[in-house]
Amino acid sequence: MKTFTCIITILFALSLGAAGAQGDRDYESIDPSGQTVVYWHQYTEDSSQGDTMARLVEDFNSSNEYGITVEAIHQGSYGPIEDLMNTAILSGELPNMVAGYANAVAGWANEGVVVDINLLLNSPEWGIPADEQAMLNFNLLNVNQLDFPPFHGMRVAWANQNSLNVFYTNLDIVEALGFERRVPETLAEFEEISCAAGASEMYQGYPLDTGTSHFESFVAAHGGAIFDGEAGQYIFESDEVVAAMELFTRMLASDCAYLFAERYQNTGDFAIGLTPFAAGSSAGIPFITWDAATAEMTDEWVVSAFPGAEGVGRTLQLFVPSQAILTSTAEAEVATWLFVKHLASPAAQLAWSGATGYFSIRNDIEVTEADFTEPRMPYARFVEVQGILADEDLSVYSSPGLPSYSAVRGIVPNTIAEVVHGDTPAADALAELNEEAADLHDELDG
Amino acid sequence: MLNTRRGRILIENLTAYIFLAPAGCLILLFGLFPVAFAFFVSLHRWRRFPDEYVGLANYEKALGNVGYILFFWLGLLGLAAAAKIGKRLFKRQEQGTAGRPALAMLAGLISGYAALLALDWFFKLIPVIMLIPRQVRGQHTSLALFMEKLGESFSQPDVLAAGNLMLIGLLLAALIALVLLLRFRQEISGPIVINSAVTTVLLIASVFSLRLTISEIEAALASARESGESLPIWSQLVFISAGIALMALAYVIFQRGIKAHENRRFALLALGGLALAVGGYILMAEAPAALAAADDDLLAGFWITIMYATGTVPVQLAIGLLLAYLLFQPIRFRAFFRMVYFIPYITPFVATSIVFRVIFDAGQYAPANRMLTIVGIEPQRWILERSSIGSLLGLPDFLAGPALALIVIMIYSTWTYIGYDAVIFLAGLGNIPGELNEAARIDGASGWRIFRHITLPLLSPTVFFLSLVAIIGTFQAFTQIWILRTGAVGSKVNTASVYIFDQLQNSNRYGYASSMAFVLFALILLMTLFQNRIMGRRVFYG
Amino acid sequence: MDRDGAGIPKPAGGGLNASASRERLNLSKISIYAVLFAGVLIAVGPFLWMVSASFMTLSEVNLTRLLPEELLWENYATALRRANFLDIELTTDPGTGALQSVGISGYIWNSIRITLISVCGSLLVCIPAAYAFARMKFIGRNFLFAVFLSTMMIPGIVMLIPHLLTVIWLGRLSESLFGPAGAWFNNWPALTIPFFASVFNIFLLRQFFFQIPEDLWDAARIDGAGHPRFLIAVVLPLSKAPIMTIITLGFIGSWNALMWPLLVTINDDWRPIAVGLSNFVTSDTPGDLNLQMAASVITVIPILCLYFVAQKQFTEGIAQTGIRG
Repeated sequence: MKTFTCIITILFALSLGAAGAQGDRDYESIDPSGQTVVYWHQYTEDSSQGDTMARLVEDFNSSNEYGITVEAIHQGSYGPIEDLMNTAILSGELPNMVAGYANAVAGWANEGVVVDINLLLNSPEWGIPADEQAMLNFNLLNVNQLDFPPFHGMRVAWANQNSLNVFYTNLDIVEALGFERRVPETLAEFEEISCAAGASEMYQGYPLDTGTSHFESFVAAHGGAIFDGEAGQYIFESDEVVAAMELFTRMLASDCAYLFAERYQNTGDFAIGLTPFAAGSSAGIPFITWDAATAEMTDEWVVSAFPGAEGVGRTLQLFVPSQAILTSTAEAEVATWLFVKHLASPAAQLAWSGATGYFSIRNDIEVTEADFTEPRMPYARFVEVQGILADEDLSVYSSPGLPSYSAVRGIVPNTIAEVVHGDTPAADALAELNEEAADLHDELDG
Repeated sequence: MLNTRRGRILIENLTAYIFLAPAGCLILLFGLFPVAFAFFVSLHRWRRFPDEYVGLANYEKALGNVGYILFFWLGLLGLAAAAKIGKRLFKRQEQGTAGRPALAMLAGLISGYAALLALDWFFKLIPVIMLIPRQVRGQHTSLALFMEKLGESFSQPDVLAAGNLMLIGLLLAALIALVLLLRFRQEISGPIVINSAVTTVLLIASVFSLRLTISEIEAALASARESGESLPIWSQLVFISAGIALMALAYVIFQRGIKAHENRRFALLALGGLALAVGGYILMAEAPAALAAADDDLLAGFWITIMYATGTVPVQLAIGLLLAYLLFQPIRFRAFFRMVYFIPYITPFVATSIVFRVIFDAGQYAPANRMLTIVGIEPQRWILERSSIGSLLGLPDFLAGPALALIVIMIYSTWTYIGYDAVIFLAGLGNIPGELNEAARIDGASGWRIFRHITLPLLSPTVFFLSLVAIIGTFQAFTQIWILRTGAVGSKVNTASVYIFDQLQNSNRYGYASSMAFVLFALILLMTLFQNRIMGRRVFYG
Repeated sequence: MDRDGAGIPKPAGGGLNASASRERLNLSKISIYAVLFAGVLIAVGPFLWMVSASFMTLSEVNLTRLLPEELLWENYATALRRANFLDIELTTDPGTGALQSVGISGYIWNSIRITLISVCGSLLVCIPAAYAFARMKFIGRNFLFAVFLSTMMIPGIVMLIPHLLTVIWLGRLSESLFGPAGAWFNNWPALTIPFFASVFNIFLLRQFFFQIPEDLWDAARIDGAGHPRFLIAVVLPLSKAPIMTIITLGFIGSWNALMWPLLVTINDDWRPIAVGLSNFVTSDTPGDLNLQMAASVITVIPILCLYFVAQKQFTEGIAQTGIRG
């Protein structure tokens, strides 16, 4: 048995050596001509995202001066992509570019298959010059800049599908319940209105999602986070997490909130005028609009950041699924980067943002009504959401980009369910969660 | 030469192996190799790629000290099995079966050892091959490159050394086989060769397992001593072993007692009862401490699996049997019924699960809730309800039972398999000679009595087969649960296999997941054997 | 008296004193039919709603109506197109208008190909093996059979990664031997070959082969036939029913396979229908339930047709192999 360990250690060292060599890779004197770039994405055909991406790929293929061909393949949603990436990592035959959330990408980076985009971004030959970089929105892009060990400042992916976890308010219901016709400013107000709705005949309380990112939004609304980047540990026992958990428990216990089964049922219920509030991705606005129109719901509803706890301003959680460039030859990596750069160009960003309603990673473009072609979303809504981001007092949260987050995300809903049903006291459940998360952090993030 | 009896036997053997070759190779690749590999993985920390060797740590993480105890027992069991086969071998030798048993045993010994050498080589080779994708990173990954690296991995020093040893072993085995075939063809008994090979493998494997366990326990004790804690692994091992041994003894005594003569029966039964009570008490007292460090989610998973199995298997078999029995009566449209009952089984889970989600939706107007409202019961939250059925009925905690969401999944699973069971029962009914029923009817037996005393006993092989398949199925059940579970229910519906998959898929903890899967495998195997013993005896093979 | 399940001997009941208790029989018959029809309702109720919902508008589905107001056939057209189930391209000669080539693609076509290959392969592998176990004497027969059987009890989840490794490296080996067509990954071999050697099939066939009378073998041997000829000329013609059982079960398994194909296909060249359906149903955007139902119904139809055709022999096969544990 010891001999196994021995070989494994040797090989491990060897492979680390290889990864190290790749870290100092010299991209300057490379010729990316004639490369083929395989790109796995999750944009369904027959959707505005899918169509636009196909068009952007076609543009690039026909216009780039190196004869690079991008081959974009739809691989289903993020789950199947992660499964396929596991296979690809095991087999060693990787695509050149793949879509994923920061934590998934971090897991791949941990296996050494992800290119540090900073090397390409700042390359004199291929990179984006400093004056143009100033036009980029690094608030969004830096979600993928992992500043903690073992990544040490690696930029593991490039954002391209930016949305926000936003808060929806039906103003007519709020007014009908006898409150001031506006978005609640604090969590206390939010709770009070939800309880009134729950107690009423006509409406239901708040559709409470036990998913992890929804929970994180409420932790952020209390001014906290689930991971402390500086201390390098999960902090599920922090006051803010406990407060968010208590809010959930209280609201469910007194019928101010309810749990739902189907995915997107929360925004669905909101769209048919059943609930005063809902939370969800801003990418869901087209569907709410459409559902509301189908159900002939005419109430006025608005999109905003989350109300905060006492002393905490408005908060928002960013959803930034991104594209990672995967290791291959230096030529192919550069070719892939050129495609990424193409996607980041003003024209492409304008087309992408206009067709999908996602925010641009550029500060220097403005999507006008004429550019806006997403058929199911009114332009006014797009402007409304852009307006939220422009708020100077807004604090922005994003989920930790750690490999272990995928696993932690899987167990948080269990804890929430246990606590809100009174099976386990919040303190015990959160302590146990914290311990499990710490184990996972030790095991998976090293 | 081929016309002699020996020649015919040789040809028959060769033909049989040729017939078996494709299936055998595939089973080796997709049945046996994965098991060996997964076991290897379970002894390591392993994310996507091999990490360090950790011994039994994964098992300890899953089951606490019971992990060590299991391996200790595995080693003992292996030794016992080896001893049993070995004893039989020597008996045969003494009986002086024609031929040269000693030579046959030598052949078996060498081939058994060669098999182990092959295994050793294999486990040295596999990690090297697995890591090839890491080596080729940053290069153009062409097929030629991979093949080149594959070739190189065979000549890694360690692999090469193990490979040479294996080659020598295999050559020796082949040589002996050749000599035996050519020289003593008639005098060699196949079973002796195989039995001695199996004994060799068992012996070495169990010694290995025991040594591993003991060294792991020692290491655990040492580290506990360092941190100033006491770790009663040895006493737990002794007590739990004693408890289980007493239970087994009780079983044996009961078996004897039932058969024994009137006046000894009471004494035997009392003795058995005593053994049962003492064994049970010891287990009850020791198990919690031994399991203290176990993974609670896994233990909960086993408990949920057991509830799931007891909730589905009997119901599914009973309804299946009822439908089959009714279908067997002289009625019209039998083909139609048979066809229709099978539909749930052949429809993909992806499709039917959507319908079940709609039916058992938590909404007031969901079909299941509408029906409840008609009967005058409050609407339920079904697949969202993590409260147990018992607590919903207001029963005390210990009668709580499974979560309502799990009940929905049980209904779904039962619904899926009833038709399959019914069709197989129908076939079983068809195999019962009609004259028996006829004769009983003439004797004036009622329908129920015919069913109870003639049909059911004659059907027992089918019942046995179906319950075996169903129980193995429920312990491995995965898809039905995976697609009907909701976040709101949390882990209340996570059977062991779902939990294991979760660890594999979401956390990429391959080593840990593999170790838990082996525990599950052991449990399934144990249950199958148990069922075979208990039910197998009652099966009437007519 | 119907004998639709040959191999099922005369059903019980009827007989001598049937006329004496006709009254009672009728009553009990009614209750038998009542129970059976209740069973039908439960068994196909969900399925029928699936069909019904596939014709509804989205709001009708959301309100869980029982029946649609009007049949929306276009749901099927939309589902077929959106889910990429079947795509037939006819290329005609521009001059004469004659048909030049037919290009079929889509998940249904893939599933048909995969199912055919895996069922045929399974028969080719399992029949000889089962025959050897049932009718030949060779060293290690019982041992090997026990080994085969024990592989059935291993939880499938542990096999996933090792299977992947096997497929990856065997595929590379075969690719370097046979060129790109020999690839396993994202090609038919990865989707079919691991399922060729089904222990369950071998077990089933072995049970049946046991029952073939010894006289037949003696007669064949006198005619100078060896095992291979006996198997092909005598045993196979007798085994239509169990083979049909295997084909049906193999078809169902292969058609509904989801997890494994998801892992070993990276584009739609060979992706089977269950993966297509699952992708369609669980895409990241909220779906339309009525279209999902239509897609589900489309998925089920081929299997239903097959079972409808094969069911008589399928049942017979189960009866004849006398699965007895």
